Amino acid sequence: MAVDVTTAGQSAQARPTAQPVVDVDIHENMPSLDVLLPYLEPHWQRHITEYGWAGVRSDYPYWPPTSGKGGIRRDAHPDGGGPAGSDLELLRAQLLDRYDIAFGVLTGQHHFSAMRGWYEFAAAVASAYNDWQIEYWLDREPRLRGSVQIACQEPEAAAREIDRVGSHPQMVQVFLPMITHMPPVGDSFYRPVLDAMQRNNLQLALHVGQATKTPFGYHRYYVEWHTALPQAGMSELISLVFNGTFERYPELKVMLLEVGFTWAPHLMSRMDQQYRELRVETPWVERLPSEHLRDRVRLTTQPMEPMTKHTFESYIDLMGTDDMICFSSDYPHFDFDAPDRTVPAGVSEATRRKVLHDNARQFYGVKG
Amino acid sequence: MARKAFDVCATDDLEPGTMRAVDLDGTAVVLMRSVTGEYFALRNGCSHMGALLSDGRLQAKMETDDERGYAVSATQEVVRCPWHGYEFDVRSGRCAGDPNAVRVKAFTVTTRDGRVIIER
Repeated sequence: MAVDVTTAGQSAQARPTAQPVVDVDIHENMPSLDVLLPYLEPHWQRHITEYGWAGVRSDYPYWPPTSGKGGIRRDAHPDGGGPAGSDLELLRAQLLDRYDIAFGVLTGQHHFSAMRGWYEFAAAVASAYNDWQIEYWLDREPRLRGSVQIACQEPEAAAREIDRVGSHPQMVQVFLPMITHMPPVGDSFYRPVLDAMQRNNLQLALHVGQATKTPFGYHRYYVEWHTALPQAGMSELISLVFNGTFERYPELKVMLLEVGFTWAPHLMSRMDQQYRELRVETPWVERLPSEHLRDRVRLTTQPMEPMTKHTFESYIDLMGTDDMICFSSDYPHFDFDAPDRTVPAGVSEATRRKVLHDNARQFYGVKG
Repeated sequence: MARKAFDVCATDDLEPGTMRAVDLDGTAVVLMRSVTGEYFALRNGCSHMGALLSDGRLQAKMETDDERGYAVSATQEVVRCPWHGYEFDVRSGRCAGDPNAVRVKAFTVTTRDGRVIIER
């Protein structure tokens, strides 16, 4: 049988979206850490002004060998200086206006939950970041939605922060990096965080970062590590399902960011198989794992592998639904995906609309 | 097609909480007697890989309690496959881990005059 091997990314026939788009992964950044100072108590200000805190550190070994420095699109640095993602006007020009983004969800660049010390400061700086996020981004751009940034090292403190800002009308989710030196997210350690999310009607966003290692730690090359990142997403979903998180929190929904979706059919069938065999160990799981994923988990397109209509639809067939995939650009990172080139040409309008808009709109509900 | 009744053993031949393999004119069946003394019969072949269920375990179903801890059922029993551990409800033959898609055939069992009768 002849197969159309034209991919969306290569095709001159790639169609304009012709419809509003929801982008669920936009990485805003601070022009400098100084923007946090007005929101910090004087004793925490000293960590920046006197002690030289320069951001979250880890043993992450790479400098991504990308066209733009630091894994960033080379054209995304503001003319006026500052890091990519730190200028609202440029974000509007390169993303929101250019692609008719109906709303986009900010996910940040700084993973305060990954700090290995100074937990109280981590909580304070996450809180300051939320205030700055609201004032600089959300108050100025109604198309943007926010993520509550937390420092989960002390879950009760993180819960207080969720209660403090979670009711903001543009805050739609709580952001947790996939941190492989901490328990996976289904662990009871996180219950104060999940309790607070439920109280505030917020969803959970999980995202890879520098603190996301593979089972072998950091591989020798960046391309190895970057290729392996979906492993962490799989582990987080496995943890959520088998720890009974979806039964304990019946309203919880999870957006899994920046690990693509093409591995999902494997995970769904493997989890189902393991559940059939080993259900006795986790009898609190009341549904097939794949059913939980279809109802409660959304996966993002980026980083989207180029594929044909046939391949794309095959993945959807294997997943059993086209409800699970949401468009994400990952702006301003080097592997940015454009909404008009993400869904392969020839895919049905109904599915295209779901991926680019409807699935995310439904996920975030009235705040979307 | 009319069902056929098979006299497979005396009621006292099977202690509560035990099971045995029986052959119904070429149909492999596992006859089980629950801890409460009821008799049940399922196709004696796991629908997954074909293991003899009669080589597995007849046990109370593992459930969860109000605190989402472990609770051994007081009312439901399963036969657990000796290989991969699929659990089949002794009454319905449905797999506890995937009741809508995975099952083995359940047969009607009655007792009469001290004998166990399976209908096929």
